Amino acid sequence: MRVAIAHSNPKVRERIAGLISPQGHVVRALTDCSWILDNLDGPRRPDVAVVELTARAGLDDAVRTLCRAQPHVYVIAVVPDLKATFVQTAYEAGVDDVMSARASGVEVAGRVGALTRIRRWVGSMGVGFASSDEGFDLAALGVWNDLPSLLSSEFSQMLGVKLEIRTVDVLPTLAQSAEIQLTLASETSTASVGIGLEESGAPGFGRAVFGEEVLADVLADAIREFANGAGGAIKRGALTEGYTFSLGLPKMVPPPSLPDDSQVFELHHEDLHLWVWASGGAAKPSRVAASLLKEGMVLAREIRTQSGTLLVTAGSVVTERTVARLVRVVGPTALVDVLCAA
Amino acid sequence: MSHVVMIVDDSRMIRMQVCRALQGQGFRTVEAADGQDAWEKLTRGEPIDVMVCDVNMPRMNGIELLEKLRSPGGFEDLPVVMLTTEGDPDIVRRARSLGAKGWLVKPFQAELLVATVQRMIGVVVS
Repeated sequence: MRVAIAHSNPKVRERIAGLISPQGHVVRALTDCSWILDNLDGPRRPDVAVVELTARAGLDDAVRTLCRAQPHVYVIAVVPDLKATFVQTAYEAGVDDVMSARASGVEVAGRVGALTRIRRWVGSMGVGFASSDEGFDLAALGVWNDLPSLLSSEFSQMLGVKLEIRTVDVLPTLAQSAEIQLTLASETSTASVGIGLEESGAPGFGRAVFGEEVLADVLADAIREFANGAGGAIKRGALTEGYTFSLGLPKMVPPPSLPDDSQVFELHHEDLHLWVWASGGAAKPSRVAASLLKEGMVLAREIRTQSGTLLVTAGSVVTERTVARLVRVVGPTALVDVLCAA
Repeated sequence: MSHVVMIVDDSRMIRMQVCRALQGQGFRTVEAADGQDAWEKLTRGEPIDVMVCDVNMPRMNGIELLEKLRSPGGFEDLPVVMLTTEGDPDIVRRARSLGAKGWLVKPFQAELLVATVQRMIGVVVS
């Protein structure tokens, strides 16, 4: 979920952010509510707002506006302590929950767990939170809109030449192609980016990367690494916009049949031609037994032991070691939520 | 005697580029295709002075390898430089808390990589 923490005390907001972030939520720490109000109608609207109630001023008008916002943002007021007057003021203003600024780490973690349950409950009532009833539009990300120039820059650095961009409608017949998947667990969305070469483009690519023509398997490895580079560039760009994607492992794929809303473009320099495609959409959560987890799957939710110890955060990419650890600690038949492209 | 650098990356292309950059400066290199491969080579007694390690890899990723290195077993002091496309601050913090001494983002500059590894060797020597 997207959680905004608006508190004038940096120690309080950073402490709460530090306790919530590891749970896999997208956290934005703010000094006041103005950013939240500015983004109430946009794709960055938080699902939950943690706001401040001060002993002297109580709750400000911005918080009252937030409490009346539709679609509703779940509002938690942080009060100096749990005195009846503070709690009463907060609830009268319309907040959904109250928490002491001195709440223990266990309590804050518990509240976060409750938020996930509340979200599920609100969703079942048909009201819906921002990210569940609207879906997430990748076009809201600057990095997604600037993909051709971003990847042109990234690959130009990898190759040491300046690549030009040419937008195209369809892909040519590709001899080798690799894809990487990025998952935005907080928004149950995925994106994938692919890189491909035509048969005729292989020698030029080999020379540009290795200084000589190389065998097909070496070339395939290089294309996979370019897909990896593309994923990394997108992830780093999205981080600056407050979104944390999980990176999968790049894989060789057959030439794809692309959805209509895909971006397709060519990056080229002299006899070097790289074809790039990118698409995204909702990710479908599915539930599998721990022993059936596969490398590269992305965990949709955090996993804890029965005593509450965090084992793996939401958004983690499964490795062989993760599977072995989960099977050992939670058991082979324990059900785990993972995300995959719908 | 030249120092030995282990390059842990699932991309042969990256391993070749890193090896080329380091060998050109007199380093000896050992390659590992993922964290598991690196761990097996280390525990077989491969003498390593510095490790250059990717993060996202199959079987055992770079963070998991760091966790293994930092648990008692004789590799606690091995200097590790992460070389990755990752820029996630949480992963950087995790790597640093596990003792990673450097963080280089791909695409890498050969001179910067070599200078970083030389600095690591300096740390080891002093």
